[in-house]
Amino acid sequence: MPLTAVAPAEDPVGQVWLVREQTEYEAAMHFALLAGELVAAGFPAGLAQAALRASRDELEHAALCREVVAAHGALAPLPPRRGLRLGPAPLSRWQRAVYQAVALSCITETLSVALLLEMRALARDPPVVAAVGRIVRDESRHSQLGWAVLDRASAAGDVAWLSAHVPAMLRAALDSEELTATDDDLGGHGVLPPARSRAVTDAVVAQVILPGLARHGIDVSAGC
Amino acid sequence: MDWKRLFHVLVVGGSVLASKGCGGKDEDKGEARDAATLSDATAAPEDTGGDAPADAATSPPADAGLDAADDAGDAAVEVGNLAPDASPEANQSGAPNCFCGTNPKCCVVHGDGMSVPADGVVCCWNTRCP
Repeated sequence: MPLTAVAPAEDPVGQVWLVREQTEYEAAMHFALLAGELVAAGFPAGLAQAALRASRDELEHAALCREVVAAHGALAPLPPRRGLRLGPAPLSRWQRAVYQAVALSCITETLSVALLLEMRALARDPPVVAAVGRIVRDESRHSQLGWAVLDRASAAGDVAWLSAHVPAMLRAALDSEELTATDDDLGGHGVLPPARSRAVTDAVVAQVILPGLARHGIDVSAGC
Repeated sequence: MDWKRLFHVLVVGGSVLASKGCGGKDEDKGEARDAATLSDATAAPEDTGGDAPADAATSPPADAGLDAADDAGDAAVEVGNLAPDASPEANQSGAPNCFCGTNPKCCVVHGDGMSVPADGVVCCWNTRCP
C-alpha cells in the first residue's frame, strides 16, 4: 500500500494532522506495551488497566485526527516511526516499566496537554474543536497515569537512576513535536506557530515536568 | 497558561491517584504507602511557589477535564467536567473503586439492558459501565 501523500502536500493543516494521526497510533502501541510492563513489574492492576484504556483512547484519537485529515485531502496514513520498546537495553523489568511511564506519560503526555490547551483556545474549525477537546481531556488522564506510576515507584524504591535518562527523554519528546514551516495563521485549525509551540513546551518543561520529577528525587539539573 | 494549576492537576493529581488507587482489591497487591509518603504526595509543591490550594489532598481529580479559560491569553486550567463518581476521593463510603468498562465485576446489567455500577462500587478513572 502506498504510504505517500496523495493530496496536495502543500496543505499544512492536513500534513500536521496526518503526523498527529501517526503519533496517536504510536502512542496506542506504547500504552499497550506499558500495560504489559506494569503487570509484569507488579504494579497495581488498576494502573495497567488505565494504560490499556489509554491505548484504546489513542486509537480513537487517531480516528478523530483522520477526520481532520480527510477534510484537508485524502492523505494515506503514515507508518509508525519508532520501535515499540522505549529506553536503553540494560534495564530491569521494574525499571523498564517506570522508564516507559515517565517517558510516555510524565513527559510526552504532559507536553501534549499543555500544547492542546493552547490549541483549544484558538481552535475554530468544528472537526478540530471536537478532536482537540476530546484529546486534551484524555491526555490529562494519561499524564496523571505516569505521575501515579512514578509516585508508586518512588514509594517502593529509589528512582534517582532516572536522572541520567531525563535529557534523552526530553529530547525525544521535543523532537517529536511538529514544527510547521508556515507563517500562516492556522490556529483555528489547531496548528500553533512554531514560536508559540516552543514557548509552551519550554514553560511546561520548566514549570511542570522538571518540578514533578524533582519532587520524586530525580535530579533534573541536566534537563534545565 | 496557569502552570501552577497544571502542575497541581497532573502531577499532584497523579500522586493522589497512586495513593487512592483504582481497581479495588488489586490495589492491595501494590506497594504499601506510608502516611509520610501520602502526605508528601498531596502537599503543595514547593517548586511551583507552594501556593497550591490548601485542599490539595482532596481537590485533584481522577480524570481532570482541563478547561482553558475563556480568555485565550490566560488559559488557566480548571477542574471541570468531572463526574461525581470519577474521583477516587469522591468515594468516601469505603466502597471499592472499580475500573468499570473492563472489569465485569464492577457492573451489573438490569432487566432493561442498562449496565450500571454494582451496589457499593464506585467507577474510577472516569470509567463507565458499558
